[in-house]
Amino acid sequence: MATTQETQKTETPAAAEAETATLDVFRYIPEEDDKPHTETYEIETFEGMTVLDALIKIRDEQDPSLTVRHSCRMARCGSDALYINGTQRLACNTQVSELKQPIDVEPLPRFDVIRDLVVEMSEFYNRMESVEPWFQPDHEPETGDEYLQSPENRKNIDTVLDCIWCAACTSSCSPAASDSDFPGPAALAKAYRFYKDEREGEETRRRRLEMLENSHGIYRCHTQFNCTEVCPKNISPTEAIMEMSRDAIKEKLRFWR
Amino acid sequence: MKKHDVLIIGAGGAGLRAAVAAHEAGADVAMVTKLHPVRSHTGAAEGGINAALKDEDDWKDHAYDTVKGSDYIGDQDAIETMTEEAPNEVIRLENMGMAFSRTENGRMAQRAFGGLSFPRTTYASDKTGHMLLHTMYEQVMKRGITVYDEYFVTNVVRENGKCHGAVAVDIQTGEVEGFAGGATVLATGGSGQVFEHTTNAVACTGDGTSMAYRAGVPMEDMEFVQFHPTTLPSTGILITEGCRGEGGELYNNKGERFMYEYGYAANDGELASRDVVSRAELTEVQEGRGFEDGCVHLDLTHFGEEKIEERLSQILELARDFEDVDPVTEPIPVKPGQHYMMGGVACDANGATELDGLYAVGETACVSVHGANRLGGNALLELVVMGKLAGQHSANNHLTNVSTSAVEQAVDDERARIDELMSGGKEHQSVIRQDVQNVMTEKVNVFRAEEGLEEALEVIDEAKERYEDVNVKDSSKTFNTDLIQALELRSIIDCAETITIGALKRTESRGAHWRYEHQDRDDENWLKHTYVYHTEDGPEVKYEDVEIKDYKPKARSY
Repeated sequence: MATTQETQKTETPAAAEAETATLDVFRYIPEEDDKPHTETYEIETFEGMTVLDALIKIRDEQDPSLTVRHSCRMARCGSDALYINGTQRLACNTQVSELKQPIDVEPLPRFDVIRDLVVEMSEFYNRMESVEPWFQPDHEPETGDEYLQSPENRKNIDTVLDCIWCAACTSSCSPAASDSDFPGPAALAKAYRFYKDEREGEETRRRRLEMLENSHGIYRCHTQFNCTEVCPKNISPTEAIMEMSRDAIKEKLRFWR
Repeated sequence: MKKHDVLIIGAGGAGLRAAVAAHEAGADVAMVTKLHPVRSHTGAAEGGINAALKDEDDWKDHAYDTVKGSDYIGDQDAIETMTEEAPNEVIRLENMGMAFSRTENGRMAQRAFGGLSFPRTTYASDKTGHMLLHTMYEQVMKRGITVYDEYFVTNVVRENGKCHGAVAVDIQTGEVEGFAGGATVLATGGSGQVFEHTTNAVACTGDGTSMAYRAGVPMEDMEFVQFHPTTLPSTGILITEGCRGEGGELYNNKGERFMYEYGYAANDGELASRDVVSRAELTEVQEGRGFEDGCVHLDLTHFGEEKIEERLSQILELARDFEDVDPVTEPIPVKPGQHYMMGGVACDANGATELDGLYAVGETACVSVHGANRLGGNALLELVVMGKLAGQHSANNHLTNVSTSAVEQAVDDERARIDELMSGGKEHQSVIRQDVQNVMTEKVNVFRAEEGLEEALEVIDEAKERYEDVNVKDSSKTFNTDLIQALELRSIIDCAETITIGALKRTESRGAHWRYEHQDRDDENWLKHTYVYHTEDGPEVKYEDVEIKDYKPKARSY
């Protein structure tokens, strides 16, 4: 075992040439501003700097009033979906070096702004809840304790299980913007996660499909694939929705009106 | 003022599980949380959850592994409770719909993990925490349990030897609000932000621990801080132990599997417990056998892309996106990083603290089931087993006997404190925070020496003084994160101070706590829990003997 008294130090990487980045950031503080405006910041960058790093640097060094939701900084908590250079992305896994400058940073479109880059999320959460996103098995576990699930079935739902509720997809979806009864891509992907889970049983599967199969449900999707393009977790809500629509039509539960 | 039988502060795995249990026991439950539940850091847990599910396995072996992992300072009663309950709770999670990975015959899959004598780590790919968090929140939605999200609880209300609830800042409006509760359950997670290099989210600032401390409840065993052996050097992002559980190998710059070659863990190699592997890595680096940035290499290239995709898909993403390394073709540079607090709010296996009506659970709590070193796969387990017990027990408390005037008074006091914080001061909170984080990472890390610990205490003492005149520059009431960070800074300083004091006074090496001047475990003098109390004159340290039952201390090797 070690006998040296040295404690480890964080080494500073060999000083690369100081490079800078310019960010045009959407600003709005309700008590102070009649309307939103854009503030331009210039910062020194470092290798591997993400947009979130850049925003934190601005906040810590230039303007402590700049406000953004963030927590895990590893694309897991889903707090920091923003509209960066015209696309919904997570600030924490978007590299500054890969973006055209000045980098345009705005809050998620189609959401009400609370302040700066922070948007009102409650409507999104309501949409998520509207699909009854909890496990509803129609029978007791096969083994007496656990439900059995084939690895293939588990793999099927794996395509959507990684959703982090960041709302990037819902922000990109025009039908979701115009129809508040439409759950939108994230919620329908969540519905699909249960719909495809064989552990719930056939009765629940049918009921779930019936619940979603209406003009404000799966048929509202325009299959534009915007949601699929912006998803930071490579989920395709569009394909999930299309699969449920095909199933519904096949089963002739009802005709599309 | 909001009123509920049971208030759960924090909505990660432990809080959610406690909320469900208290609700099932008939209580009117509300969760008060600074993050929306799905944003909680439980979601970042990767590897899995331990349970002796198989016929060939025995929960008593799991208990023994845990006691040994704890370096004999874990509470053996509580460890037995946790490991015996483990199969039931993991099955309960499955029955709630949690998407565990499956074996060919459709059963929940398990894999090997560090410090375990049997492959009993039940997993959901390398996203076990994410699946657990979402499953538990689904159950909270299903039951219609009230959630006050983006309310930052800053103090618990103590009067006449009882806890009457809590005080919170509504982050969106900046208003201070009172919450009266028959029971208040602290489930605010860990305090990794005490350190500069950590796997923890920025929200993990030890708020619950600090609140209990300031309400007179001791902090227990804070010196035991887990440094995870495999974190990404540039960000501290976690690379799961599951990589090694699946057969990942650690190499030094001479191409040697040093865990075996240099005798750090002659039997278990890479799957020794985390404290052992972290020390081994840093020893390699210090002796000149490391790579750039103080790293060693974690090699998965022999797995092939398919296996990595299937079992460690998140690792692929994280290594590629955050370190620009492709684990399919090249080794991942890794180094130890702060990961977990074994210590926390002193409480019993029901989560009950010394203060009537106040509970703690999860990483916030110190029961203690992890002792001086937690085994991988036991944290998620603690959340659900102890979450259930704390939820059930807290539901015995009702709103009767709660003093709403005490809560009102506490709201007034907190408003005054916040006004004071907002009224301007000398130094910005971010500067003080960084000084504390830096000194903790430099001096109170894997290897600790007396001189460094004393130096750290000086910096922390100064930080306490500087905090008296801290500056919040943002004057808005709406979503003022500058203010939130200033409030969090007090928790960070409290945790840093108690960690460092505990570490300085413990003149032995045990589990994750390693002292340069005292490199051996000292059972004669130190089979003791550290309790630090908050007093007007600063922290006061007391000790209590560890209760040893069936598992007698013996030399610990892997």
